Formats: sequence, structure tokens, C-alpha cells
Amino acid sequence: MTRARWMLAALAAVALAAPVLGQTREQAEAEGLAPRRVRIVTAAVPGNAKATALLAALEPFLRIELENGTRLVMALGSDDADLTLTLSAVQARSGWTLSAQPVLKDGTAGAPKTATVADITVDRALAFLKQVAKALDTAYPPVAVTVTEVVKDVVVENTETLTITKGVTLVIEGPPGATLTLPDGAVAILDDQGRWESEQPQNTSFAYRVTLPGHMPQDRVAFVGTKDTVDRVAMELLDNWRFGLDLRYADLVVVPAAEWYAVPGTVFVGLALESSFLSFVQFFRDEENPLVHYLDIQASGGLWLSRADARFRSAFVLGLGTRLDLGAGLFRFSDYAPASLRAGLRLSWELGSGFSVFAQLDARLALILPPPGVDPGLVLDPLPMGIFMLDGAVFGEAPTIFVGGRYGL
Amino acid sequence: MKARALSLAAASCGLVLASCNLFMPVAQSPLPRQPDGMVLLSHSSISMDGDLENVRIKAATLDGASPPDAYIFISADDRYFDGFLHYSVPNSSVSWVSRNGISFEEDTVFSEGGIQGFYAREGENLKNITDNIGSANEVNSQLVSDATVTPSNFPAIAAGWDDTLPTATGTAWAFVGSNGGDILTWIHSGPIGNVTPLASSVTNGLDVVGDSFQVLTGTDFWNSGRVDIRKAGRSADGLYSWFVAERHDDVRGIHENRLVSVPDSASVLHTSDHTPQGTAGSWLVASDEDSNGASRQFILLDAALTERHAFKLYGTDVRYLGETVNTPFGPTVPASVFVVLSALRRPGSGDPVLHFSLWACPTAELDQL
Repeated sequence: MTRARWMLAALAAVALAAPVLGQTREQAEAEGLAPRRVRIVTAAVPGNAKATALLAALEPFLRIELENGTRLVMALGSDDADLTLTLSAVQARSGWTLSAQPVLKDGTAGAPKTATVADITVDRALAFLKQVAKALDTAYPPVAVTVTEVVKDVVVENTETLTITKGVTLVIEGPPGATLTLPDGAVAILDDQGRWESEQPQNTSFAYRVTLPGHMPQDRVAFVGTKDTVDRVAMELLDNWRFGLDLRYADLVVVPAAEWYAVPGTVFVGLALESSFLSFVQFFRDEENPLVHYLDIQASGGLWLSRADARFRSAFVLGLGTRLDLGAGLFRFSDYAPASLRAGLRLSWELGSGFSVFAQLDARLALILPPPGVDPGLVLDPLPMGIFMLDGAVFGEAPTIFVGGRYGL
Repeated sequence: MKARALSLAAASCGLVLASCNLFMPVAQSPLPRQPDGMVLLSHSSISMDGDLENVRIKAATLDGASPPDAYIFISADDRYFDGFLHYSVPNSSVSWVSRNGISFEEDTVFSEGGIQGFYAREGENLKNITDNIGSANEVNSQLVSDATVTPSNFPAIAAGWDDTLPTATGTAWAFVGSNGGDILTWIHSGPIGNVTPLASSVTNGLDVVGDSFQVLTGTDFWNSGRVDIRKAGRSADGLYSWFVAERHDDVRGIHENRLVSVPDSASVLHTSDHTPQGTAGSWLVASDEDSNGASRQFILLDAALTERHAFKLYGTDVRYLGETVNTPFGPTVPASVFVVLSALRRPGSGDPVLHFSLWACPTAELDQL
């Protein structure tokens, strides 16, 4: 053979071998959500032709409910239907028990829906039909479009059908270092560029939580369509300071307070000034004002027990206080509670925009400095409710409940 | 089910609220803490009606009982509640005492030589009225009549100290008067009768006192020519007498007091603007003129009216009562006794209550308070 003939023979061999060794692929693409197709079948009521007919008469009304009130579409034949719904009736003691049983095309039975009606009539059964329609809509939502790829192997002539859900890329952008808690509980960190990406199925939602120290955590949901998606996270700084007023006792004592967050959103230290000078009731009452007032200087530390982004939050508060008597020519530690230890539980309602209101249950141990020879019970008129401890040196006050408001900066 | 849950929630809230303190622990104390060294002798209270805002002790003194009791004159805005109270320790009570129609000046109240009472003037006479205040116990004597020099223009006033105190020396009673412009003091061993001898005579002493006034000076006010001797005392060490001189402007309704001390056998006197409350050992116990309603500052003065020490006692009003040995410090330890008034409203009802407490400190330790 000449050299040219060898080349022609090689080309022919390659051309002939190609259908034998290669594969062919046929692919049909579609995008979006595909609704489920449902077929309604009414079962015969044994020995009761009238009931069978009445049951069959309900079928058009169920069809109307499904077509108008759900995302399902009606199928004409059993081959087209993803779902077959069998409507049956059984006579019960006080009427009829209607039942709707969905079965998927692969034979998987869904949750049946039943109801007892007085009679098999449209006006009696309409509520049941609406419930069935609503339940089917919830149980069988539209599904993501799948791509059917047919791979034909020429060598063995095997045909394999693969179902692949086509994915898109979800990118989350935010402050570098922010922590993402993913739907499966895994944790991811935004990189130095503040990016994290993942391939997600089309037409799905991706719920995650993003946290960063010093910032308000966020629970977010990214909706993934048919194209690559970017979810940009802007994080709000947590308050370093909170200022506000408490309203305490039935005397309506206004107490200015400030709190500084050592760990924003979690741990704070505070200072509050409580004085009978600032009692609304005392200020407006007709009786003469007392000549001696008190000033409680209260330092406290608090630990929030719930998440910073929760609507309702609770905190444990522990504090130390000192109390001074104030009057003309009088400025000294009080006989009652010159030193005190407070403990409280705070329930706060975060209103947004930096505002919050709370109620706090507070109890305290108060030191008593009675004059020598004086019954500690006479240092105040009257003492608060509580119990003496340590031979009257300490008084355990029953709790107080007060409310307050804070504004964060 | 929902109603039951609501009922349970309401009951729980009610229970929590019922076990809570709803009102602020106000700063009112029936027995305010006093400086270290002061010991509570007794405590009692009495209900009253009316406004508490300006309730004050106008005058007070020991009544000589053992343990110490006191007479207390209360002043208030409402004239119905102006009163004369007897504080009685054995019964732990405070009771109102009738004046029986007798007019007197409360700030002349005294307790000396085992006798308590006050003075009232009647012309040239000094009445010594004892504790029952009734006419049967009224001693109407002309205390100063046959002295070496009889006071003329201005009435004399008598005062003394408790010569039963172990530290007492000298003669118990002093009488202060004037003759013309001279200030005279006499000392005597008893409260009644003729008084001899003359302890001191300060020529033109009234002029010296008159010149010491700071507000009512010169002659541009009504009553400018008059200086009254209001209250007198005698130091327990027997070295000097003191009295309060007063000028008053009847038109403007103001008055000014000067404290004057007159050392025995001396021709000089000392003046100051302190308000004397009594004698404690060699000290003259003075205070601010008016209580501020929360505390009162006391000042220890010597014979020259120099301030030697100051301390503060706490209460709506505080008064010095005098010296006694009838205290827990022992029968030979003179102690200075103070009465503390706490005027409070009873929580809830709002009824006014006057709390009185007697406090004592050894006189020798007063300058350490």
C-alpha cells in the first residue's frame, strides 16, 4: 500500500469506529417550576347507587377548588397525572365519612383527609373539599424543573436515563470574618474579600444566620432562582451605650440610668441614680415634702441570656449600691442600705431603632447601720417587706417590679 | 381552657405583686443615727394633727428625773398645735401639759439645782414657775429686790446649773440684770430671795452689747433704745455667767440676738452671734439659730465665746437639754443629754407622728464628737 492509501484506510477506520465507541446525548432543557398534575377518582359506595352518584357529583366542585385555589393542575388521564386523588364515602352513625386519599404516581400514598358530613351534598361537603384542596396544595407544591438527559452508548446500545437538577451559584457577600450558620448546621466564614459561595438547586430558598462580634446577628433567607444569585449582607453595629429612665415603685420614682456594653449585645455594666427627690407622687402630693431624701447610687452588671436580635430578651442583673441621706446640712451614708447587693431578672422588648422597654424584678440585701442600742427595725418608718438576717445586720428585701426604657447609641 | 390559663396567669401576677415591695423605702427614720459616742437613752412618740413642715422644738430642758425626763416646747405653724409636752421615760410616753392660762416665755425654761421650771416677768418681779404649771405650784417671788444694786430699767433674769453634779463648783445661781447702762451679775446659793454678793459689774456694759449688734444698729428702727435680757445661764465651773441680749424692730417684726458672757470679777464682757442652748461642764453649748429640718450643728464655746469644737446631730430638730449623772455612763459621770425630734407621717394613713428620743454623751467627750 502506498502511503496515501494507508492514510485513507486510517481515516476510514476512525470514521467507522466513532459510532461504536462514542456516546450521543439528547437533552431537553426547561426552566422554572413545574406544577403537579392531579387526577380525581370517585370510589363507588358499595350497595348504595345514590350515594355513589352523589359522591360523583362532588368531583366537579373539587376540581373547581383545585383549579382555582391551588397550584395544582388537572390531569385527564392516569398517564399524565403525578397524583391520583381518590374520593370515597362510608356511611357513619351520624351521616357520612368522606375521605380523600392522594397517591403519587410511584404508588406512594399521601396523608388522607377525612371529614364527617350529615349528607353527601355540595353545601355540606364544600368545606371539606376546600380543606382537601388546601392540604393538597401544601403537600404537593410545584417542583423544580428537571433535565432529562438521555445517554446513548453506541457500543452496547445501553440507554441510561439520569435525572439532574440543574444548580446555580449563590454568593453571600458581607463583612470579612462574618460567620454563616448554614441550613444543615454547618458553619462557614466569609473570606478576606467578604465572600462565600455555594452551588444551590434552582428555585429554592437558602436560610442562614450571619453573626459577627459587635454586630447585630441576622437570620436571612436568600431566594435562589434560575440564575446566579448574590445576597449582600449589611450588618448593623450593636449599641455600645444605652441610656434611659426607669420608673420605680408606686411612688413613680424616675431613675436615670446608663449602661455600657463591655461585650456588645451580651454583657453590660451600668449606673443608676435613684432618689426620692425624683418621685412624681411625692412631688405632686399635697402633703409637705420630707426634709430628708435619699440617693441610691447603683452600679450593676448584666448578662443577656438571649440572642441580641431576639424580639424579647431576658437578662440577669447583679449590682452593688450605696445609699446617702440628703437634706439641709445632711449628707451622709444612710442608716438603711448604706451598702446593698442587688439581683434582678429583666425582660426586655426590643422595639427597634435603638429603643427598648423592659420590666425588671429586683431584690436586694441591704446592710443596716442602726445606732447603738437601737432596734434595726426602727431605722426606717416603715421598713420594706422582707426578713432580717445576721442578727439584724442585713435585711433581705422582698422583690420590687419596675419598668424602664432605654435608647441605644 | 383559655379562661383557665388567663385565670392562672392573673393569679400568678397577683401573687408576685402581693409579695413585692410597692413603695420606695423612704428616708424617714424615727431614730436617726447620731455620731459615734452618742447613746440612745429612750424613745417615745405622740400623734398629732396638722402640718409637720415647720414643727420645731422651741425650748426644752431636763426635768431632773432619773432616768432623765424632759420638758419640751413644740412650735408649729398651726397655733392649735403649739404645745408644751412632758416627756416621761418610765411610761415611755409623751403627754401634753396644760399652760393653765399662764403666759410665759418658753425659752427661759431651766433645770437647775434640782428645780425645774421657767420664769415669767411681772413688773419688777420674776416668777419662778415649777413643773406643774398650775397656780398651786407657782412661786411668785421677787427674786431680786434687796441686792446691793436693784435693777431698774431692765428686769433681771435668773439662771443656774445643777450643783448636784460631781464636777460642779461654786455657787449655783446667777442673776443677771442691769442698772442704767451697767450690766450686773450676782451669784447666790438658792433660787429665791435676796441675792448677794455682786459677782461682776461691767460699767456701760449695755452700750458695749448694743454696739455689738450687726443688723439692728443705730437708731433707724423702732425700739432702738432698748436691749432686753432674754435668757441667762451659769457655767458649771463657776467662772462665768452668760445671757442673751435681744433687740427687736416692732415695725418690721424682726429681732436680733447677741450672746454675752460675763466672767466673774471682771470688768469686760464678750459677745457673739451664737444661739446658746445651755451649759455643759465648762462649755457653753450653742447651735445654729434655726433648725434646717434635717440636722443641727452644735458648737462648744469657752468663757470668751471662742469656738472650740463643732459637731452635728441629726433629726427634724435637736435640742440640748442639760447635764445629768443619771445615764448608763455611771452615777459619777456627768453626761450631756440631747432630745431629737423626728416629725414623720405614718405610712399609709399619713397621720403625723412626733418621735422623741433622748441621746447622751459624757460631757468630757463632747469635744470628740
